[in-house]
Amino acid sequence: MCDEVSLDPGELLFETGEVGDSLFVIVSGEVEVVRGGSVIARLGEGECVGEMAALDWEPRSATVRSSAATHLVRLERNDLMDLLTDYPELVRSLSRVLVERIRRTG
Amino acid sequence: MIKPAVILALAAAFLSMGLVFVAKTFADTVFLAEFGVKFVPHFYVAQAAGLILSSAGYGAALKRSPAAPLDFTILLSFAATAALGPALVRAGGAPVFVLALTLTVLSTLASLAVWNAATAIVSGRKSRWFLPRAGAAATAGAVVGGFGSSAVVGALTIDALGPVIAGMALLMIGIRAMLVRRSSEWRGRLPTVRTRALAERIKRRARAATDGGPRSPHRRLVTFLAVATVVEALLTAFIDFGFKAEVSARFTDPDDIGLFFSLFYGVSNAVLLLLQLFASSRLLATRSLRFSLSLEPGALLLAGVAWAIFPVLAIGALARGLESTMKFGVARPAQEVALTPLSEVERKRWKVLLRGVYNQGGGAAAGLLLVAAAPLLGPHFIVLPIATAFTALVWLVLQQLASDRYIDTLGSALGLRKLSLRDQREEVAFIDRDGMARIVELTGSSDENVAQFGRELLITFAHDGQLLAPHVGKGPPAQRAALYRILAARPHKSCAVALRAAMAGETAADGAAAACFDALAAYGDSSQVERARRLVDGHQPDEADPPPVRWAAWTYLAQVGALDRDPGGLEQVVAAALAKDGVRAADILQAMTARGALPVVDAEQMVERAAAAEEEERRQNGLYACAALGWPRLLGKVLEAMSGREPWLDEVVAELEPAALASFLKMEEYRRAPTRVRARVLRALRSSDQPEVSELVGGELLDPDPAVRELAARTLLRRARDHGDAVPRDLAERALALQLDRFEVYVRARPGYASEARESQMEVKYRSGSAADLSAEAFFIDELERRSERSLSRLCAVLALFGNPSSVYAAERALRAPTFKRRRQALDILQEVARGRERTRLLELLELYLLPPRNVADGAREAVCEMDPWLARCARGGDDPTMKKLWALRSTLLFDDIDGELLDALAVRSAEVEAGTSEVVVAEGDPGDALFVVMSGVVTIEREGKVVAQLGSGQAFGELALVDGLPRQATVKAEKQSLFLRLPRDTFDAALAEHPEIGLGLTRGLVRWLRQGEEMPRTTESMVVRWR
Repeated sequence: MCDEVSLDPGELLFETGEVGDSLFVIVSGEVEVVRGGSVIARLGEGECVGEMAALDWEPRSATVRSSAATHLVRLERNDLMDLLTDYPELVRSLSRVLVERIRRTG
Repeated sequence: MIKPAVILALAAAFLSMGLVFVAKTFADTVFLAEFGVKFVPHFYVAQAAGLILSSAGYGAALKRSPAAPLDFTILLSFAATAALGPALVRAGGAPVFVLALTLTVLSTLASLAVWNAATAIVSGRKSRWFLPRAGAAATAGAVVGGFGSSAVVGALTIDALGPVIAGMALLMIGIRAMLVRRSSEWRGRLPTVRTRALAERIKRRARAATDGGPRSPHRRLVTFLAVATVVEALLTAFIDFGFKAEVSARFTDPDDIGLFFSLFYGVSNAVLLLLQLFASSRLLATRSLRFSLSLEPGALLLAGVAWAIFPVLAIGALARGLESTMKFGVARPAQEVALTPLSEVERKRWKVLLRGVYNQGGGAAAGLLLVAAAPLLGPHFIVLPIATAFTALVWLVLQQLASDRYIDTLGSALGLRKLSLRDQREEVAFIDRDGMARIVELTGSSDENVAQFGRELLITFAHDGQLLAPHVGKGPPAQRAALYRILAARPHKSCAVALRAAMAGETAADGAAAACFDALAAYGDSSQVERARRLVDGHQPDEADPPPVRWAAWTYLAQVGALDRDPGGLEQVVAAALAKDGVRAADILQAMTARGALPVVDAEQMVERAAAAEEEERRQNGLYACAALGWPRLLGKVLEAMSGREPWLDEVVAELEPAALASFLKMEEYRRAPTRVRARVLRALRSSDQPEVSELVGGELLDPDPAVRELAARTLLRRARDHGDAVPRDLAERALALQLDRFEVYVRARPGYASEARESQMEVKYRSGSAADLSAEAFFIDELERRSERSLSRLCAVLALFGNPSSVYAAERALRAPTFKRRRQALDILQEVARGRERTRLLELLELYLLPPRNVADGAREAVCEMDPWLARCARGGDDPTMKKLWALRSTLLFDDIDGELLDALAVRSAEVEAGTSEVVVAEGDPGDALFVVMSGVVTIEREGKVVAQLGSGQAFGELALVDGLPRQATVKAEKQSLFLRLPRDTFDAALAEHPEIGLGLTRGLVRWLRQGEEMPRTTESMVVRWR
């Protein structure tokens, strides 16, 4: 169901404005989220990135690049939707991630 | 009712093109009769120069003075030249050259002038109606002009055309004068310094916007179009020259030439008229630009080749006819489409440049080339057809490249770096002998993760017994056992001998022997009965915790029928298997019923009893056996259990054979099962590639439950994507038609209620906030809009299915853009990237959606209600108390993405609570256990004693707590007597478990919140600030 993605340090995962339909889960390594030229967050093992575009079809809202050798798992939108419909627990944890991000930026 | 001005304009268009072709017949004839074909290239050069100079002069003059006097001058001089025509022809020599040149150039200029005046009388959307008709009228004029002049030449002589042209030109002056009075051009004559400066500024800005630098896609697009235009002009000249050469070789009498030309123009324009009326617009609307742009070069390439093989007048005339009809019927409109990504100003500029400069420049170049190459051409001009074919080929390639640039340009308008045009379906994984050996080795690894990975790979690739056989019985025990287990699950005949040999080598010391017994049992191979008997000798089947090998020996004996003569022992083995290994028990029972050792009914009863057991492990194994046997009655049990308290069965169902899954769909229990269970089954069916499964899933599209319909559609789409032909096209289309029809009705219903009513209701909803004004009707409209939006997504999903998803999705976002222009662009993109048989219909529907609202029949709303009982309830409205709650919930951004039907589930679970003046609704630090929506009254949000926000009706607080349950971060106090809707957290969780789709809408709402937060400040407790 999902592909694996490996990034060298400094490699781009996606850029602001890009059209993307996948969510990534970080298996190992670390990525940094860059918006307006500054790093606004660092995400590590077990965290997910790119969930916003995967959920709402809008372009990527930030640039994400790896800050170390990083291994990620890619989940395409359709598969994500299937998982979310099938496993309500996943919806709950995903919404918790989103809520946490809202609280953190607010 | 068509206005007189429009009729006048159509007449002007008709006459202008008629004039051009009468003049063309006259000019071409007198020229060819006087000089033969020798000076035709010189004429091309002179004509190009004349057209460039006169167009430039005309353009420059237009900037300074009004158009009408200028046009009168042109038409008058044209009439004078034509009247002098016969006299000049008699003079012969240079005057004939001048006459032909002047007539050609002035007729082009005059027709342009009249066309401009005619089209100026309509503007905006009316021009969509007018322009195609004016084009048809002009072509009709060309037809009449062609045939009319042939009649004149046939009855009189070619000289008679001179006065005819002069007369027509005078008539044109009259019409032009009448158009002046009808149009607004006199009133618009205010080119003051201010407006001109403004126009310049707009132009500059537009240029800056479209020319993003030397390598911008716009720049590259127009570059390719320009080069293509030059090549096209070369091609036109080659064909025309070759054609005229054939004509002058065939005819000598001027009247014959005139007759031939006039008939030729008449016929070719008649064909063009038919093309314009019936084919062009349809072709452009339904095919991709790449195709439309390539059509003419492709046809001319073929004609050129045919002409080179048979160098006769008929083929030459055919090529010339193809060239003129397709140029105006297909290539020019396609070129206009290719220019659409440019801004209005840029587009006009480039149109003039392409037609006035590059086209004429190419014509002049062709003329010079032909003059230079005259000695090479020889008597039969065979070089020309070859040059034609070659040039057409070059043009074809250029047109293809230009269409690629067009796609890029469209993509850049949407912020995409590159639109992909290719199908992105991946190649099926393939594995060879060496690969298989490596995978098998992995399963023997001492690292359990690696071994697990190896086993999973092996299961994926275990469909080829030939590849597996050489590895049976080799390697370390774990590796051998892994292979045996796979062969037990998926027996391959070619492995039977290898298995028997391997069993001989297995000792009972490790687990591999047990796995080998299982595998042999799956083959029904009874060669090991003696050995198994030795192993079980002196033991009972129901002993507690036997060594794996002994247990495997028991089940082996039972399965191959060696215990049939010992019913007691057999029963014990089955009972023990049912208690500890349901799948194994299913294998044994399957084998027993197959050879008639046990009636199916008895077997069913045994398994059913086990599945109903109180003890959990026994019950689970019983259910495993039910699923593994896959008999309808037992599957019914599985469904029942899934619907009840055995959620783990979902996983089991996902592993079932497609045949068993398919039989679920035929069962009564399945109809009664909750949506979650049906979703599980449908989802599991996605991985099967059998067409008959598609038929069954197709049946689900008619289910009364909308969630099931949606799931079935998704399942079908997914299967179609992953397994291609597994879903018959007609079924996919039928399934989708269901969705599309809904869409159509919603779209038709849209203008009636949605636009205006919704606007005003939104005002009420968010600004004044008086909940009393909100009605069920408004909710209905809201819901209707949302569904039509969703249908839009579905349409795009269908397009994406048969094309390339990322480009379609990118365009889909732009389809919702606020400006019509951007939506139009998105549709253009879809036009290019979409594939599939339903493409045309889908695009039509999308276009319908994008068009400005129209008046519709009153029946649309009834139609909607008929199709959707829930919406019907909304439309009835009345005093339904849940409607108010629904509205309250919908007004929170968090639930904006949740369908009314699902929201309904939340609304019935929420309660209304009241608070008096100054009463604290929630206090800072309180547990975050509910969401509140203000239904009436006002509340203040205070943090650390300071008021940070004030909320009125329709606004919510505590949304985030609903998800994470964190303590309140602010105190909310009622300012006056207020009414709230309270949705407790645990209730919400319960609803979420029952309707997982709520969760999807919820996450989307949260994402929207996050995105808005990027631009706007707000309180963390509520999203209200965004409405300020």
